[in-house]
Amino acid sequence: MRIAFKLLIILLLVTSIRLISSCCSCEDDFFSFDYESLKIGNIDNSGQWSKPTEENVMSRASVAFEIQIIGKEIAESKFRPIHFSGFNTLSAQNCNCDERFISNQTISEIKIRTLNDINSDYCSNEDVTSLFLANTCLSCTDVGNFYITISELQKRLNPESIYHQPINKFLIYLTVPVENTKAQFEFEVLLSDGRSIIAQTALIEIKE
Amino acid sequence: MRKKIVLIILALTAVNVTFAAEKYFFKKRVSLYGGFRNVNLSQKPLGNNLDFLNYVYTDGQFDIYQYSEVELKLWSKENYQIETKISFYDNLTPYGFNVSFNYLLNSRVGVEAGSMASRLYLTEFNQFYSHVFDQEFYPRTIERQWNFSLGSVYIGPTFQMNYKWLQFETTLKAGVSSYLPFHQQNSIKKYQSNYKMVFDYQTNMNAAFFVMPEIEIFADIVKLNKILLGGRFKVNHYYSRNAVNYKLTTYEWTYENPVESKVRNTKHTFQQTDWDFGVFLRW
Repeated sequence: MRIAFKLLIILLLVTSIRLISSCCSCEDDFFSFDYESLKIGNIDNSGQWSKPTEENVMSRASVAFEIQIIGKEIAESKFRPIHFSGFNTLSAQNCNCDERFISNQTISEIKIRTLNDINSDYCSNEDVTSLFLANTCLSCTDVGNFYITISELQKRLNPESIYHQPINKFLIYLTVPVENTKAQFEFEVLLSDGRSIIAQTALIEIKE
Repeated sequence: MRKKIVLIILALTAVNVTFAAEKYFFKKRVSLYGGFRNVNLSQKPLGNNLDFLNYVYTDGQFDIYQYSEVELKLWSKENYQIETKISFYDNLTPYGFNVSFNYLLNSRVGVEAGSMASRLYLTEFNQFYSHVFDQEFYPRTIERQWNFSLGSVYIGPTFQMNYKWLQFETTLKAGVSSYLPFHQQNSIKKYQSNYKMVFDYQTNMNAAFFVMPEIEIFADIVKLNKILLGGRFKVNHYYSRNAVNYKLTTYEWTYENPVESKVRNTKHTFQQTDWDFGVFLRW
């Protein structure tokens, strides 16, 4: 009787340890994706805060764009723990995990080329990457809204995983005034697998 | 919730100290009172550097500086007295304290030494940037400092007198005070432009002489068993001339290549008058 009681206690302890590890394991679920396309939107940064705009008109000193490097989901990978029959971990029926995406490539470089003369120093078809600064969020706190260099941006563009959508999004800002009536830029994103994705901004009309 | 816990801990500590002190102190007094503070800081012309003292809530804004105070005073058999006060503004946030040690040379005259701190509130100091940059920039706050403290250590003569049911206590506190260091970060963004700057302020201690005469009057009202209930009135006036100096780090466009400078602002005359009334229990 005593042995049976002891065995029961040990069994209960083991079961309770199994119960502790029965929470949702969100880190186990992820989708892998390939970067496929580039979407460029206009940003109105003439006021106090940056905001997206459909208009193709910008002030000469507040030229800014939102860049989205968009991925296409190719597979769902799930690490599934081994379940022993008859003694499975008690697990939640419904886990509210954010969808997690892991890219098959890393972004190795971003290049920006002007398609119009910016001023006498920077003419059409020149690389003007160094004239741009970036930040990685549109409506976060002021600290996040201060700028980072494009080289610093590149370091931040390859997080271990992206949540909600396979989209890498950031804003870029031209640091010199455009001394021309029109401005247009071409963005090239170089990927670690040797591919590059290219897109152009809309033709921007520069206002005083 | 945190405030309640602080208040409970303070109350329990006070009760414990009072009971533990039974052997050493022959007389104890607990006071509870409320009052208002009149803060007056001289204004200086706006210069090229932010002077926080130009943006302190001052005279005519009593609602900010209404306060309540809890005080415990213990009289020892060896001619010394210990007094502790904790002050709360009307939202029950502890904002200041005063700990003092009083040694009586005879029945009336003594020497008091102590330390105290109180808090001053800041108004919209971001307006400074509109002045400096001619409205061409939007001021933005990254890290907002709503208040800062004034800390002091002092020593001074004290005079105590009893007349029938009245007790008078006057002290002339004099010593060294400083606005305690704080950190503030602001940014500005140019109108119709991507250009941004960030200003990072780290203020430092800057000692200055202060003087604070204080008068307290206690009136015994009724004795209940061994405990005496009374009324209390206090007025004091604090005077000093000091500045808030800081290390300014300026960033343009990015956090790279900061420019650092040490800013010494002109001294402001700071005057503060406290008026309060309350009740006490003495046993």
